Amino acid sequence: MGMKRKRSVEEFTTFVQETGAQLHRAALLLTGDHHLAEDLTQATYAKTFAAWSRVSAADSPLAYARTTLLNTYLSHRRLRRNSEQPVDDSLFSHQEVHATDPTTRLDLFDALATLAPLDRAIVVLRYWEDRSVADAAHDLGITQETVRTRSRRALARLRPLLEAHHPGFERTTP
Amino acid sequence: MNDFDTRLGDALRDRVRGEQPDLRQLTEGSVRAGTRIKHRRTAGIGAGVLAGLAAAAVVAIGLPGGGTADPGPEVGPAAGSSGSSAPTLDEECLERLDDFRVSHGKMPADDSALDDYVNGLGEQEGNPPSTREDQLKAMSPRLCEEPPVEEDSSASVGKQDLPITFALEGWNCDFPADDKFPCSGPNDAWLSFVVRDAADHDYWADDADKGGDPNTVWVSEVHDNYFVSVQGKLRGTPLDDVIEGLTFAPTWER
Repeated sequence: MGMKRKRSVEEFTTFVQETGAQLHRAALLLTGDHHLAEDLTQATYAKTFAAWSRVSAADSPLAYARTTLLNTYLSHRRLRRNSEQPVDDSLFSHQEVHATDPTTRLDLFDALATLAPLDRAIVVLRYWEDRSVADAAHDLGITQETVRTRSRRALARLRPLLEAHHPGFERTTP
Repeated sequence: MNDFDTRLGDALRDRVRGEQPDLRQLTEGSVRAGTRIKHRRTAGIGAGVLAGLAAAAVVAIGLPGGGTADPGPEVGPAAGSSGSSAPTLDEECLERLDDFRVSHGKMPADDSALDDYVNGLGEQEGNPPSTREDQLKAMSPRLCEEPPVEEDSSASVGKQDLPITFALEGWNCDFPADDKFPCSGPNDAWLSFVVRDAADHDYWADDADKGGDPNTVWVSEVHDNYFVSVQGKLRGTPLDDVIEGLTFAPTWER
């Protein structure tokens, strides 16, 4: 192994150690599945490593990796759309079945799965990473208005699910 | 942020707080897969080019102080008559050679064996040394040029060729070609989304037939330097749903 390549691998290893948990958790929130999250995280880091000589010289390698993660996730979802059942139907029917049972717990991943992939990505960026509207728009390559609109729509969808079935979201009296 | 927003953020963090990937496995797997991605960038190089690369490897490694960043004066495409502007096979090039060797099963993994291997090729083919040198001269620029950064070829949001995406339940889209991508939907519906230069918007927006194409179903407003025309047959899908399914990037980066 050449010295430069060895140094690149060492730098990259440090980068993964510093950011791996964060990206993996983001991937988990996006996919809702441990295996898919592992695949997504590794695919992200593989692409990052392939461009490492340039990424490492950038202001924020993490920003590059985050964008790659989002693009890979959204691309993957798009490619899978042919073979997927609409997740909304199954979960809403699930919700209806248990709607009368307030003790039924709804996992947060199930609630997130009711969202369109882009809306889910926006929720993860805005509410998990605390990214601003402007930053989220930049990360996703969409307008700030789109972020706001889709964010409102996503929350409107999540709110009744979580308030009905998730501990800590009980409806509070105004 | 209101109370629900705050609780949602807290709940998301709580949900994944204990999640920890296997960082060692993640790193090793990513390096392997990333190296494969880099190699795929050179996959377009044909067999003859591979032979040229091998020849380049031999000459580069066989230089005085081989394996270092100190190329001989004869190395490079301009070596020969003048030799004054020859690019050098620096460490970056040698790193790529290293990647190349490791990734190709036919190639021996150590330098001396590689040397023997390529010399053997030359002898088998009856190539005099000058031919291998010519191959090196031809190949070294390609060996040393910066590979392009890999871009996703999909139409997904983010860094992409086209500034729009379309997502609507029951609809499937193909990858973009040129400035457009086609989608198909229920009841044999189909649409073609075409990204156009903002300068052409008046023609498309004002013409009663929308650019002279009776299949045009909608023309977007101008978004910075572009707009989108939608052509095809909706066959029952509400146009409002189609418009709702479109996402526009702020700018078309061409």
